[in-house]
Amino acid sequence: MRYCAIERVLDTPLPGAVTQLLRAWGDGDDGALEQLTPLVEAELRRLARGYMRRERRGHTLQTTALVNEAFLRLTDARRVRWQDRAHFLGISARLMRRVLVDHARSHGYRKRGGGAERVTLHEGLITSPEPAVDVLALDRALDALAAVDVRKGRVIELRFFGGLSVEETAEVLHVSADTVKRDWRLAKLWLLRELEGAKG
Amino acid sequence: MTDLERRRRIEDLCDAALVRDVGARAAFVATACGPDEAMRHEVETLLAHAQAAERFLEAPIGELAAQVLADHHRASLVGLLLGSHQILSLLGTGGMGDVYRARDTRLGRDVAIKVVANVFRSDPERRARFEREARVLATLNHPHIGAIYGWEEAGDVRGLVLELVEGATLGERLSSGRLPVPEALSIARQIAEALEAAHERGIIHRDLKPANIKITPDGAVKVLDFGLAKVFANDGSEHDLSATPSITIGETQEGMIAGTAAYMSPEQARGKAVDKRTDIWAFGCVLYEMLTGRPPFPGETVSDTIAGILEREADWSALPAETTVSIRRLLQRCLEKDPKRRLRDIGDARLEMEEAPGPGVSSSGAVVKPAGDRITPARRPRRLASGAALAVGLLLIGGAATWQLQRSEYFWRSPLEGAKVTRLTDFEGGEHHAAISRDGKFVTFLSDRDGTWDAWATQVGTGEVHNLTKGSLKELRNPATRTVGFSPDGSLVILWSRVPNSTSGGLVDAGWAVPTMGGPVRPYLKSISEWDWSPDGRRIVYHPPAEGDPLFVTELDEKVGRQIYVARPGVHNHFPVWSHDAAFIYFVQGLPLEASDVWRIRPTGGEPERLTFHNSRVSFPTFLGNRTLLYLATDDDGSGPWIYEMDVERRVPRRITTGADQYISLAASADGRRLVATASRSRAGLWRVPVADRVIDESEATPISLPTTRGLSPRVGHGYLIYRAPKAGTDGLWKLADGGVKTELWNGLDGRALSGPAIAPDGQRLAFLVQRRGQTQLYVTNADGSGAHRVADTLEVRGTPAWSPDGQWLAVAANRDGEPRLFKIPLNGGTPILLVNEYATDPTWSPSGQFVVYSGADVGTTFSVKAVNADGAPRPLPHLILTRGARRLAFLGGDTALVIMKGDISHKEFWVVDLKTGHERQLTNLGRELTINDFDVSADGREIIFDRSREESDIVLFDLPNR
Repeated sequence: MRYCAIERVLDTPLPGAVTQLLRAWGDGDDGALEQLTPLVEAELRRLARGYMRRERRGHTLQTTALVNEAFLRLTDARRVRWQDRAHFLGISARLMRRVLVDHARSHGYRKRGGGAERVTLHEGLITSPEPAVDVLALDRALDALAAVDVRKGRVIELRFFGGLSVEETAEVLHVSADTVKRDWRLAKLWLLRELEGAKG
Repeated sequence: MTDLERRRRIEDLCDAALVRDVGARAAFVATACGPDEAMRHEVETLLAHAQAAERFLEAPIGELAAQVLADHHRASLVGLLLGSHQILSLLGTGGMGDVYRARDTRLGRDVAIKVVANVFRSDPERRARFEREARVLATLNHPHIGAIYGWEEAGDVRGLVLELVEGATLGERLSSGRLPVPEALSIARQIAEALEAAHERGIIHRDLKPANIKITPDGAVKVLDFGLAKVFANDGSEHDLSATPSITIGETQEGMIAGTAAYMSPEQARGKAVDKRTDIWAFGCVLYEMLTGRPPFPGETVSDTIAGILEREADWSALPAETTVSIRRLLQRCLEKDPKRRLRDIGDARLEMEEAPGPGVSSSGAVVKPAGDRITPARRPRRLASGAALAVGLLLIGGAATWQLQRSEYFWRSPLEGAKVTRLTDFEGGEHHAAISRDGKFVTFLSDRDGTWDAWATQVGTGEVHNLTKGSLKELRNPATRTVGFSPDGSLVILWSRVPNSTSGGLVDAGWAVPTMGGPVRPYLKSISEWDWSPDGRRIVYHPPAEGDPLFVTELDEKVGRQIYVARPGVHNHFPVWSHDAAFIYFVQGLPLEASDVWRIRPTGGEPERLTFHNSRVSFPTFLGNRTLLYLATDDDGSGPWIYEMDVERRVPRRITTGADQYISLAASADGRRLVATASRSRAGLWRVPVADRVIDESEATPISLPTTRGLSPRVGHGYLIYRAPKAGTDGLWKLADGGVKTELWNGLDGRALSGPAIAPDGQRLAFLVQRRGQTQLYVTNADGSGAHRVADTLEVRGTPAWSPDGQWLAVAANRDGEPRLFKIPLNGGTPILLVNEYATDPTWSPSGQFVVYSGADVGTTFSVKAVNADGAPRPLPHLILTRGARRLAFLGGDTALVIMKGDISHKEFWVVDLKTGHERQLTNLGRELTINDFDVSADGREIIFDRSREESDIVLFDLPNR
């Protein structure tokens, strides 16, 4: 129970607090990220629940739509800078990754009495034509990728977990769209090889 | 080649290969790598996944992410054995963890187990704290508190074993809408009892909300999760969020924030230390939600909810009409954002609810006046706004007149709507009489922060306050007049005080000026009571302290002013103020603090015109622009003063404040964008001091324990006390027998009791004044409150009645020709007899019955004590001039010794005066902390029983939106 952490989070002037925290984080205050994360997560969860209640089946939700809505709700639109949005997208993507990984981990825990490690995300959730992604393995592979190439790790995180477009990813990482595309192509190759190695 | 260069090269080769046909890639790579086998291997192993990569990670995970985000499922523990507890089923998921039904295999009973991840397994300190907290909570044993039995742990899981309470939670009950008021109050009472029991042990709930309150099938309330927020709280030490085990973190924080945010106190939301007042806030939230069906601070988002908690006022108009005034006030006191101003003790809430009329509680069958009626004016526009279509429809159907009416209602908005409210003073002590400079930049006010009433000044926005007078001026405070102001340019603070008059021996009004930024105090426009500069600064309107408060207007270069109006003797003209266009002078005419209204007159004189018809305590008129008049007025039920607004063209007064705060001063800047007011609330209780040969000091005063939250105007009977106490926003009469038994003698909802009662000499009957529908009436009842009947209904009575020692007569003041005169009323039903045919009020009969002492007309802030024989002949008394404010007189033993109150308006001490010799002797020195309003002397003459109140007040600044 991280009660105190939340109290710290809330110990900021609102509204506009998120905008300020984003700016502080952008200015190098790492503590701001710790304060931001639970706020962003709570908002994302709330929006997701609302979405799950309302939305028709078969309609595909874009993660970015969720993230953008959270951003609009949490920030003070009049005072926001484009960097703020980039930072927000970055946080959201990281959060989404963590949430999905946590979910996969606890899902496996429930299924296998805590012993299992390899659980696919699609189990019991949705039917999908896509091959299942082993999120826990992907998470580890991404860590390995980040160890050799931080930017490529971020590209995967932003595009896959955050649902960001190439252009948005480029904006967040301050690189060109072409660089993002190339990183994306190459990182996927690298990850697939890494995942294969882990299996073997 | 460095590692980096080498990696870049590999990537370039991969990229180049990918644009080639699959069949051509191997040859390309072999050629490009040449002899570097390692590089070729690297590129080839990557390219081997090229086909898989085309679809890899390309599917959007949006739906999945949304499901996972929305999903609350955690690892299920059903079927596990946790210590001696067999987990049976999942009961629910909460902010702090999942709750399971479990079977205690040893004791053979079902329990609830709240499971959390054993995140502190490796942290002995937190573990010890968990256990310590759990042990404290386990000592809580109360019928309305869900018990904690102990804890169990197994591996990664730790569970608190709790009493299993069957039934729905209050949250579930509320999901189908609000509760009937009596049921809501019954539940609230039980919650209050639970909180009271816990608070007495120093235990705070910290997370009270409808989801934590269960209603058992037989209707009993159980508050769950007492103090668990703290048990599960970590110590706040820094550690990376993402590194924390997942089972609690994501869900817990989200649950904590989203689920509890609506009930979080402002101090919790700000991350400050919390105490029992946080529970009182949450209690207010829960009661509000029971009554209205929604929390007081709803929000679309967490941040919106928190912003509401920190900044917005709850929507009081949402309360059902049958909510009594006292419950409204209770809610307002619970939902006070500043914990220092919040209800201090949940026991007070319980008392308040017990006193509130409700089924089986009220001794009276009186219909509760829907307090909503009083509160609607300020809220009306919002309700009408939703009916805009209706207004348009009326426009089309009806004529122009209908439209005009609709439009005026529809467009009316409270001037305070959208105002930003800032408390300029947050320190101990009282504040009063705030004024604001014309440019709105400076505020001055009186405060007793340093022990004496001094004038203070602050520049708006700096948060700094300066004492301008530092004890150098006495008698600055007078609730009946404006005593602080600014010069037109704001450079000087103008003060009115009272100074000893060397010729008459009394006190005389004096004007003073002190630089706003601090400096010497110097005399300014001496011998003038109040004045106001015209908007162009070229004229002033003023009145000297003379009978009838004559109003004068003077041009700056004139030596002598022109009298434009004088009221009858005994009638006062206070708070003169120019309209913005200088066409009129507005002022308050009547009996100060009692029965007055706003009037206006041309600066050249002529007949004054009455604008308001409150006939109550009206004061501090001020303008927002040329048409919007704001002023303070009390209501018919005695509540207030509230801030009223009136468009001086349309003349419809509207009350624009509600809530626990009364407003006791008001002033606006010239542009109407800023308003300063004194917000006040009072506490009052009964005390006793012995009468002795020496001066009794504060240490010998003892409080009288009352069954009500407040007590005023005590009267001593044989073996009992009768006193006034507020209930449901009005004042009733209560009897407290020496054994502590309390009886409600008069329900204030039948009419507000205005004074302490006169007790008949045989103790069988009571007489007292009641305010009903704007009228003051004299009632006589039996000693137990039964048989109430109105007497002397031809008289416009006022003040306090007195019973003749032979029991045959009541003496009371009544208005005749606009001023109070004394009458004696035969109790056998005959016609009232005029006793004193001049200004006279508040009679007291001498113990022998031979004469009556009373108060004469107010002159300035003083009045004289006079006497009349029972047959109406004047009776000479020694010269006795007292200061206004509390003015009760009571005999001590025989006809000679009279107990009086001497001092200044807000602070008086008891003295005894010998009516034969005029010799005065001080009885008490009780200090300036509290204000004495009324008293009585015990039958044996050995004790004085008195009430004391303390106004807690602060200066509040309203920044009004531009309209």
